[in-house]
Amino acid sequence: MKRALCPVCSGSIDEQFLQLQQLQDESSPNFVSEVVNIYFHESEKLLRNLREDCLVVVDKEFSDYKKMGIHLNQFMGSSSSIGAQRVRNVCVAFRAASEQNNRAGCLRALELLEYEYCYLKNKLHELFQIEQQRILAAGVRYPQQPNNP
Amino acid sequence: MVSSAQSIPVVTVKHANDALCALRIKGGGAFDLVVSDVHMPDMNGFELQQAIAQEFNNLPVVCKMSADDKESVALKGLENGAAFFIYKPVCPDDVRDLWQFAAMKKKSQVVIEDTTTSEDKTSMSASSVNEDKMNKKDSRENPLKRRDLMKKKENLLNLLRKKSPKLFGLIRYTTDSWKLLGALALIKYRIFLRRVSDASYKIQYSADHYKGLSRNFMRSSIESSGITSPSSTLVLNKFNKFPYQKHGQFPANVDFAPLANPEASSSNLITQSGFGQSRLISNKANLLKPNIGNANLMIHQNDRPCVRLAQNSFQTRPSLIQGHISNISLEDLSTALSASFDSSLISPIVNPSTNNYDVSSSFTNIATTSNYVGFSISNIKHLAESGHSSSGLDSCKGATINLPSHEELQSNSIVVPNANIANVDELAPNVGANSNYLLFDDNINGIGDEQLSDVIGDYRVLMPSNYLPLNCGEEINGGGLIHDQSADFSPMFDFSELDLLSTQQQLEEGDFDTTILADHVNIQNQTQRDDDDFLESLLAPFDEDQTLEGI
Repeated sequence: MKRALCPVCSGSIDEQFLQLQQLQDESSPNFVSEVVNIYFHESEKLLRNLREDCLVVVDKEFSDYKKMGIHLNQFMGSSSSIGAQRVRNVCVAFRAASEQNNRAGCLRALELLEYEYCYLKNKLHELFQIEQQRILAAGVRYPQQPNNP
Repeated sequence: MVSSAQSIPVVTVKHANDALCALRIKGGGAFDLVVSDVHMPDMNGFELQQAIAQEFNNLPVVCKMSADDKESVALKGLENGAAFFIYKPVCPDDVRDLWQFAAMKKKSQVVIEDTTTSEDKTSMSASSVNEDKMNKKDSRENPLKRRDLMKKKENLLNLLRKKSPKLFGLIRYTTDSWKLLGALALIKYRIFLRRVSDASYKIQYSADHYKGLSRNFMRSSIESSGITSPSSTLVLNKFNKFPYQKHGQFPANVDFAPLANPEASSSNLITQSGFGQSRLISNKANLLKPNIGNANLMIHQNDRPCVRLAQNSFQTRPSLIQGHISNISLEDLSTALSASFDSSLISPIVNPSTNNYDVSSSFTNIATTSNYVGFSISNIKHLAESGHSSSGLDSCKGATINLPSHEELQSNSIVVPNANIANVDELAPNVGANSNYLLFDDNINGIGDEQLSDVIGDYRVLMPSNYLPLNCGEEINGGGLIHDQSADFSPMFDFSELDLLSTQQQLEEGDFDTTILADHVNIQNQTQRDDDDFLESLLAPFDEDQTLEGI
């Protein structure tokens, strides 16, 4: 695989994703893809919630920031579990901004979060496509050519 | 998946109430371990743990997981009696530790039950009835004893958090008694070294060889591979700049001895616990047992090419500044010491490895009044300004080792300053394909007038759970070791954490007032001794055996 396509090399994911891949075996051949799909599904919900929280938040309104913190904590946990390193880093910054009741910072962090999430999603999709092609290519059998004298 | 590989039946539920229902239906005795998250929609993990503790006498162990890496959360989990507190992401080693813990607990329970049964069978007299009562009483007292030990551990953790936030940060990630034991042992060891250094020999160095060298620390680099060479090179270059090298007395490539005795009881500790060794500093015996064979602190080494600076003590002359070297590992680059020198200089005694020559004989003793054992970071501008004699220390000019930036930190570690607001705008240039880290504070290099303790206190290193500084030499966790080397210590453990009152000393060019420096050093040393005595008094009732039994 080209290094440019490798999400690990680009820094999007860390070795936690590799450990996730090690958990995949014959008893659960689609474990990684299932987990990643769950992550994408949940992440999009959380990102929507975070965007709503950022829009309705009023400066120094504790309850709004607390709600944001809960969603953020979930997103951070799931991202770290899947090995989404940069997404997690942005979540940490987002959490710091929310703890400071910094609405502008939260909005900025949300933009970065959505950017990183999209980047990660594209990379993982590419990874799965390449993996799928590799599996298909491994199963291809070419007919034997008759030997010409 | 891990559990399936190990044939452990696992029941998973999505809500805390469902977990309680499952426990009630099957009975508490059917489960050996409960693993729950902290932040949950209907009930948090602490409430769940308390509910389980109230309903089920045999107390299935509750292990908390959380993406919230705040210390208060972990402490609260410990207070509620959680056996483990694991930070996300959870790695297979954590799961293995949980499994082993559950297996050991179950095994111990079976042994107790067998003992009780046999006692019932052997005698039906009143004495046996009394024995049964005593057994029951012991079983009732054990939770109390356990809570008492938990309390003690909590007090110690609070003290560590107060005194050394970074040390606390290193051990806060789990309640594993082994890690705490390792930390305690290191603290005790440090106190021991300090006392040894008080009584150690004096090192002299020829006076006309050195200027003040800046004494810096190098942050540990926690990259998994390839970092030892540059850091070693960096330090070696620094040492190469030492004037005494001119006399051919200092090796171009110094290999230092590891600190401690390879044999130690830590392996026994591990076998006693039965836990995995992935994150146990006690796995690395060298850290726990100092091998101070003589007053010269000649430390035996193993063959590992880890670079450690033997700990020496210096007694400052009135006209000299102190210098000291502490045991560090340059493989993790936790600290790098460049001795401070004066016109009447001093070289630290470095204990070379067996592959290297003994440099100690090439140095003369110096008398220093400082018995400081630890690390310092070169940043005492006022001392530099007071000046010191300069004579040809061009090689040491500006010989400061900056704390490495976060490029050298593990990619998913973030440093967030306490005092500063996280500037999200700073994230923007760092976000992208080439950025593997976030740097919140540009002043992480510690350049400036701030004290090391302030630098450490100002920053909290937030590390994921898969990174444990106390990991002992496993490269996958950023052990910082070369592939073909084995470590018997935690390369990522920073001995400077033991230095609760780190001092900063930087000697730059120019003259300095050694009297002021000596006074400063003495005050710091006395303060440090007081803290060490206080720590020791606190550690005394918190015996290692109790630590093992408590958790």
